[in-house]
Parts: sequence; C-alpha cells; structure tokens
Amino acid sequence: MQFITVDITNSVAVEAAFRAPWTKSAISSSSSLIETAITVFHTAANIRFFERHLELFDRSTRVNVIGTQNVINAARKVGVDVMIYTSSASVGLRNLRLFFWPWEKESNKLVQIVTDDDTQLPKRHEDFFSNYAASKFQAEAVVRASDNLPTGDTANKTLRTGCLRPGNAIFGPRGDMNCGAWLVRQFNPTWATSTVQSFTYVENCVAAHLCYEARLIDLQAGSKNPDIGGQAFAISDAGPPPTYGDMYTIMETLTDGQCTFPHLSPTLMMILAHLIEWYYRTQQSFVRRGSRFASLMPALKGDLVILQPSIFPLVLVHLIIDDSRARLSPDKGGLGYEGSLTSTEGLYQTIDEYRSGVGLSDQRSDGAGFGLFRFWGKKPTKVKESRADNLVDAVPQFILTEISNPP
Amino acid sequence: MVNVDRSSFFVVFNPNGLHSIVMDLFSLVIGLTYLWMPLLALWSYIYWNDRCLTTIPRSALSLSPKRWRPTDARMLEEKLSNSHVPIKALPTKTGRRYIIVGGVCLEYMFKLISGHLISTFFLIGRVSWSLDCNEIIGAR
Repeated sequence: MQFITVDITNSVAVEAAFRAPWTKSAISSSSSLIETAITVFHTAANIRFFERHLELFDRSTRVNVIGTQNVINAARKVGVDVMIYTSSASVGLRNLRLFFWPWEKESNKLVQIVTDDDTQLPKRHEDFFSNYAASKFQAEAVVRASDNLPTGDTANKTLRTGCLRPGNAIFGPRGDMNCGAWLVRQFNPTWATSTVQSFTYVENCVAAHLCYEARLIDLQAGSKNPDIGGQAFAISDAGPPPTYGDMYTIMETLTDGQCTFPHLSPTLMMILAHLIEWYYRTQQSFVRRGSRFASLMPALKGDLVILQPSIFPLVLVHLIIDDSRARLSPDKGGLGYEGSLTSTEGLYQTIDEYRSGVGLSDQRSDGAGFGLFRFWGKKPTKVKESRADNLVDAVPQFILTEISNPP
Repeated sequence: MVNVDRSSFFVVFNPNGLHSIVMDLFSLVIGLTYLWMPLLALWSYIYWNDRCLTTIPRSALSLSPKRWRPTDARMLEEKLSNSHVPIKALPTKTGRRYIIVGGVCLEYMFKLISGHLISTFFLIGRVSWSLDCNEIIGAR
C-alpha cells in the first residue's frame, strides 16, 4: 500500500499521484484480464459547517468542488472506471428560522425527511444550512455529470460514478467527530438532547460504498439491472432513529458516568452564536480588505469558531433519512444496501473499542466537532492501551489513506 | 371597653402618611418593572422558544417512539458484550485496484470513512494478509 500526500486543489499534483506506479505485488496479484480496472473512493472533504455566507464560500468549494473536479480529471486520465463519492445527507437539510414568533407553536420545517428526490433539495444558497452542504451539493453535481464520460485511452471505456449521502452524523471508532469525540472529551454541554436524528454507523457507511461499487461494476459488465449510475442515495442505520438524548443516555451509562451531557438553553446559545458570527465575519472582512482594524480584532480560534448559527439547524432539526431506495434490491433499482446495524448497536461498538483502547488519543475526535467548553470539563481519562497497540501492530496501515487535502 | 389613644393611632396610621408610603412602594415597583421588564421579557422568550425547540413533535415521535433508559443501555451491553454484530451482504474480492482519496488526520477531514474502508478491505479479503503490508493487492 502506498501513501501519497498531495494538495487536492493542485490538479497537477493530484494527477501525478494518480499516475504513480503501482507496487509490484499489486500488479502481479491482479487478474491480468482486469488489471486496469480501478475503483476510486473519494471521501475527502473540508467540513466547514460553521460558515454560511457567500463571501466565505470559496473556503469550502476549494476542496469540496475544485478538489473533486481534480480527482475526476485525474481518474479519467488513468482510466478509472468506477468512482464513488461520499457526499452528505445534510445537502437535503433546509435552513430555517429557529427564533419562533410567539404565535408559532413550532415550525413546519422542524421535522424534515431526507429522501432521494432531488426536487426536494434546496435550490438557493441561503436554503442550505451551511456552505458545507452547498459545496457538497455542487460537488455531487460534478460527480454525477461525469457519469458515462470516456475514461483512459481505451475506446468505449467509460467512467461510472455515484454519490452516497450518509447522515446525518457519521460516527464510529477512530476519528469520529460526534460520538467518538464525546467519549474523548467526556464533558459535553449540549442543547440537542431532544432532537431525533438518523445516524450512520461507519461500518454501515462502508457497506453502502461497497454496494454501490458492486452495482456499478455489474453495470460495466453488462448487467440488465436498472442503470443507477450518476445518482445519489441517502443512507442511514437500520431501525428507528434515536434522539441525541438516547445516545447520551447510553454513553453516560456505559462509561459509568465518565461522559456527561449537561443541558444548555438552545435559544441562549443561538443568541451567543449570532454575536460570534458577527465578530467572525467582521474580522474576516477586515483581513480580506487588509484593513488596519484587522490587527485590533484577534482571530477566533478553537471551538469558539464552531459556535455559529449554522450548526443549530444541523442539530435541532429532527432530520430523518429515508434510505428505502438504497435498500431496494439491484433489480429494482436499489443498491442492495443492508446496513444492518442500528445506531445504538454501532454506539455500543464505538464505546467498546474506546474502552479497550482503540479510540484513545484520537486527534480528530479531540480536535473537531462540537467540542465546546472543553476548558470547563474534566480531562479525558486515559484508558488501557493494550488492544490499540495490538491492532496497530497487526495493521500498520490502519490509518493510512491515499491523497490528502491541503492543510 | 378598651381605651384607645386615638391621637397616637392617627400618628402611626395617618391616612396621608399611609398614602405616601403606598405611593412610594408603588413607584418603586413601577421603577423596578421598567428596569427588569426587558430582561423578564427576554427570559420569558428564551424559556418559551426553548420549549418549542426541545419538544419532540408528534410526527417525529411516531418515527422514533422509544426513549432509551439506563436499564436499556445495560441490556444492550449484555446482549452485545460477547458478539460483534456482523454487517450483512458485504461484497467480496473484486480483483480490482483501489485509490482512496481523503482521510489524512487533518482538521475536518473524512478520516473515518477511508480508514474503515481500508480495514474492511482486510476483513473481506480484498487485501491479502499474507502479503507484506506495504504491498497489498490493488491498493495503491
């Protein structure tokens, strides 16, 4: 296995990485008939879910849209014939006003069902919950438009593509920005306890990627199943969706109270978030214009940046994902996806791995996500390291992947 | 017959003095109300808006009727403690090569999915355990 680090926004570097020679064993072990058949799983993304205004949009599109276009261009030059893109179910999340008028009991949009119906997706930039979702939607369009385009030097060879929309939160051991991060931080003030949301456990997510790849390989081989290339499928866990509060209860119980989730007022936090956003935009505006006032306003750092209004629709809307189309059999136009784990089963496995040492000292879990008020809580407790050490010894390329995003 | 010193009674409860005290207290209440009214209104709004945001709508409850309690969590632990729930219907070997884009441990990256994709490749045999770890079938 090779591991190549390049800037995904640099088209030349991405193409060079795709053209890097394969290892000898990769060539010798592949079947001679299909040795040029290559699949790309494109999972790279810049998740700036806390920005929602157009003046900051290029920060998301640089990696998510331009980077995706670079990956597709490079893939076509080396003859890749199947590509699966990891999008997000949050492209279907409609932005909404969460400060209600006194005569409103609840907003009709507070319960949202995400389906594969593209006509239901937001159309205007301000209808997406953040720049992240808007940029993922644009990236999806790039990927879907590339379906059936010629690839490689061989005549009649085409690239088949597809997008997956897992969500709303993807979680699991080793790098999770939600449940794994809560385990690492332990003290997790929250205002989302009552929110019902679909989750996607990472093993289910991987299964969906492999299912979609298998379907596209079938189509390349002449399958008579309905052509599902160039489409987007929403996926989530099996069973009814839990609330965040259900997940908190399981975590508090199974960590014997080490993880805690004190409740904060969502309205009060939204007021604070608007103030932070005003400061953030003003400071960024001064920096962009080279104003001398920029030096008077220090840049926001750490978790404070995340506390901006766009995270509130993300965690307060009851977002239910309907993945029934992905679960259809291939002959009915589905993926044959059987994500069989429920979110609570996935959460147990996440906690179990963490308790045994696999999830500890995870930089991503500790450094991203909704890790507000870390200074307030307890320091994470070190857990035993034996299983983690064993796993790393056994699978040294466990955390290696191929092409990275720019810092 | 109780003798009441009417002169001292009217000194303490002089209607004019009483009126003055009542008016002073009334003014104080009005002043405090003006002072606290915006804060009271803000607090009331926050309380009311929080109720709107944290009440699970019926349509969502119908899709997610069960709430988890600590006893349920313990039962889940008991059920799963000795078994890893297998994922059904994972496709097996394809003989293809794979390029996985994304996932280095940088801030806000999809390390999670790519890392698990690779470990799943091991589980389902798309990557051979017998080979040297740096030379794996199909994986670049």
